Amino acid sequence: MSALLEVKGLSRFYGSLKAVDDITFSLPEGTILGFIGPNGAGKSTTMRIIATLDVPTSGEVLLEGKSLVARPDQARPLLGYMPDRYGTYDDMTVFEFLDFFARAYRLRGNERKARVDSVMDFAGLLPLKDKLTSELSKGMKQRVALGRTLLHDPRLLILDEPADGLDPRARIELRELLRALASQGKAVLISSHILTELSEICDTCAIIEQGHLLATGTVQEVLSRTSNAAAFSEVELTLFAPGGAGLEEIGKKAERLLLEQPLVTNVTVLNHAVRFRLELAAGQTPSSGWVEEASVRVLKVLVNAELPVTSFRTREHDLEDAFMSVTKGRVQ
Amino acid sequence: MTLASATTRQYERLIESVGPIVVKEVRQGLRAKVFAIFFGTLLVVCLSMALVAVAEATDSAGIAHGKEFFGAYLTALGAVTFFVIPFVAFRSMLRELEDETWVLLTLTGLGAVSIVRGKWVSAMSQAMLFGSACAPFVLFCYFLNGIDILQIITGLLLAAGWSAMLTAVGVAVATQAHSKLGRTVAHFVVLGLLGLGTLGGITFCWVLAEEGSRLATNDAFRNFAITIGLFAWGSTWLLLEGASAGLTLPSEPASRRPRIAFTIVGLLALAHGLVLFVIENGRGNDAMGGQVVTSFFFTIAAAFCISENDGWPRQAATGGWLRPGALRSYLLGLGMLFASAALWLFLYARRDGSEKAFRAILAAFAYPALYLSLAVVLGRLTPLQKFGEPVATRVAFLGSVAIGVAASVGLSIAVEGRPDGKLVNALNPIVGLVNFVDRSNDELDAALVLLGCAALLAVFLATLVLVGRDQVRSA
Repeated sequence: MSALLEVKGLSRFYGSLKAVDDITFSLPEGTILGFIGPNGAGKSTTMRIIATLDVPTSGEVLLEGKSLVARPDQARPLLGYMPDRYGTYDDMTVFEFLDFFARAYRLRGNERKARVDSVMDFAGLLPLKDKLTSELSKGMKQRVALGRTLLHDPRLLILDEPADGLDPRARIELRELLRALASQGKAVLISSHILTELSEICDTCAIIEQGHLLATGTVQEVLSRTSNAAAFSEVELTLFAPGGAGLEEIGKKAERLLLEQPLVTNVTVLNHAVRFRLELAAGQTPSSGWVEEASVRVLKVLVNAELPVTSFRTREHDLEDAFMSVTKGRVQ
Repeated sequence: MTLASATTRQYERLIESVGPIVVKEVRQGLRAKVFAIFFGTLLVVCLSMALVAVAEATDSAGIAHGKEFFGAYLTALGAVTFFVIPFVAFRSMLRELEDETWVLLTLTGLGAVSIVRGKWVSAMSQAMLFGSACAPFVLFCYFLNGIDILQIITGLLLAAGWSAMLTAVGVAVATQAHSKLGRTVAHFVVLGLLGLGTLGGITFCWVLAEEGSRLATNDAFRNFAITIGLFAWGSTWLLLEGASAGLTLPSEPASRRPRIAFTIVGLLALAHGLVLFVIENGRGNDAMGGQVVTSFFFTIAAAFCISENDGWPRQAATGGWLRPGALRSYLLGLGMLFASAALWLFLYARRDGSEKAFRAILAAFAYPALYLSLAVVLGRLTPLQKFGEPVATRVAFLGSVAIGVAASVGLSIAVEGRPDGKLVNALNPIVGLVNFVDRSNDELDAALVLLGCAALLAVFLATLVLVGRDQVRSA
């Protein structure tokens, strides 16, 4: 799939502060890329440069193969930018607000009316069209802002923290809207602090810290890379005791056996469930498959000791683990 | 086609033809409570005054009441169009910056010029509504005697120009306030400027009411009124271009239009000065007054020019003298000041003025050159630079002028026992200039040499600093 957006060696310095330092990634059409990083990592700066609101110190950003640094005016019709602040006019109704921006995008007459109606329909704003934007909830304001972003039918959407401050329902609805947009062939660049949310929405992700890009690729690629590189893994097993008889004793035996095993730490027994952590000693380098090897060994010990184990599973790494694994929590 | 649908279609066509910002602003403005309150109040005030005027005219038939009511109507109109509407325009633009909606508008392709022009046009549309509500009452003054049609038309035209300029002031000040602190300061600045502007405007309205009958007979008074009008419209253009530059994204070249506006307005101001000098048969000493006034005007404009960022963005590497960068703006400012000095010196030389006038013309060029250059150098030193270069340069300009005045006066009192010593005030841009304008003394020759040397050194240093920084912006 050809890349709609290509970011090559992008840097932005403010005096001695390197807000963004040599970032490279690409985004094919129909793909959602999650831009992940702690506060001050350089996410918003990168997004503002891609949205043509700022200029890079060095590097290049290509949209459909054309430099948006050299010709920002040519790139703007192709991109839609939604900043972390929704930027609505309080004394305008939803329809007036969208109609105003449609005029600003030089949509005329019936074409404008049709476009505003279609955007309101897509974003579920039709029932609210005559409501003042100041009377809307945060989730609805965010929909209005998304609607504004879509008015000129851009090919690339840049959404800076769109899920910030939304309730769970609004988040789920946003996720559905973004999925629908990607299925229409639009490329979406989205930043968020809510990593579980991003892992469900995004096809690819880029982790950034202190202006450096630490990991990039599909969510699965980043997860497998970081889970292989992780120095610990959480494990949970379930024990069986008919009618609960002797459960306490079985639990104590499991705890004792587990603590005798190398790499096992943090054992907690809670009724039927026993949780523990497989963790490499400080300084040990994780090798590929070490978690699986250690799990097999532990399980074998438990089975040989005739403990009634009915389930044994390591918790899968998610984007949050990947993020914690590659970042060090430093903020500039 | 019914009349209603034809009207709707015409209305739609009209709406399509004006910019979206104008439509939005007018829509928001007319809906705002402040419009209804002030429109209603103005009508009530005008109506009440009309009733009083009718009562007075009935009681004292034959006595002219036109002047006082003409002044009173213009005062009422001026209070709204010189202060309220410009302040509302200021707040409206400031809200765009606070909510960062201007960024979203820029991305639509509208551009800073359209945004600023839209704000200004919509504010002026509202001013026209107020004006059209008040105009019949102003015309009514004609029937109260003592006022002629020329005065009424001049008054309304000048009020429109003054309102246009003060509205542009409001919009321009708002676009310079990109930080929270900046926005707080902007409120004080705009309230001060609009307060002074309103006071000046209303005072002139009363002068026009009392002395306006001389418009037809007195050339000097008529020329003064024309100059006020040209100043208002020229400044409006400059302010709007300055406002657009203040609202431009880093990815856009912002210098082109303000520089063109400054050059054209500056040259027109000089041409106007030349015409006035010729038709009024000016003397050598009049050239001194002309130079002081034009160089003051150019200094204010140049203070904004020199506060441009250094260098140019990568995508704006062409454009010759119109290419972004403080160096070219600084040289343009100096060039306009030089052109002014050259013109007035030329006129002075043709009409045999005094030595005093000669010195004052040169001093009125040297002071701005000195302090603008100092601001360029100081504004680029840390920690001032931390405030951001445009702000730092303006702070440095005001600061250096204030220090120049205070230190010279202090030194003069300490050394000579009086505040207006000639040599020690050589670098004082206020007392020094007053000395050059007011006095004839050999000591002032030495003061002029000292001032000239200081200005030359400052210009050299500023040029050196700016040339070193005139490259592609890397940060």
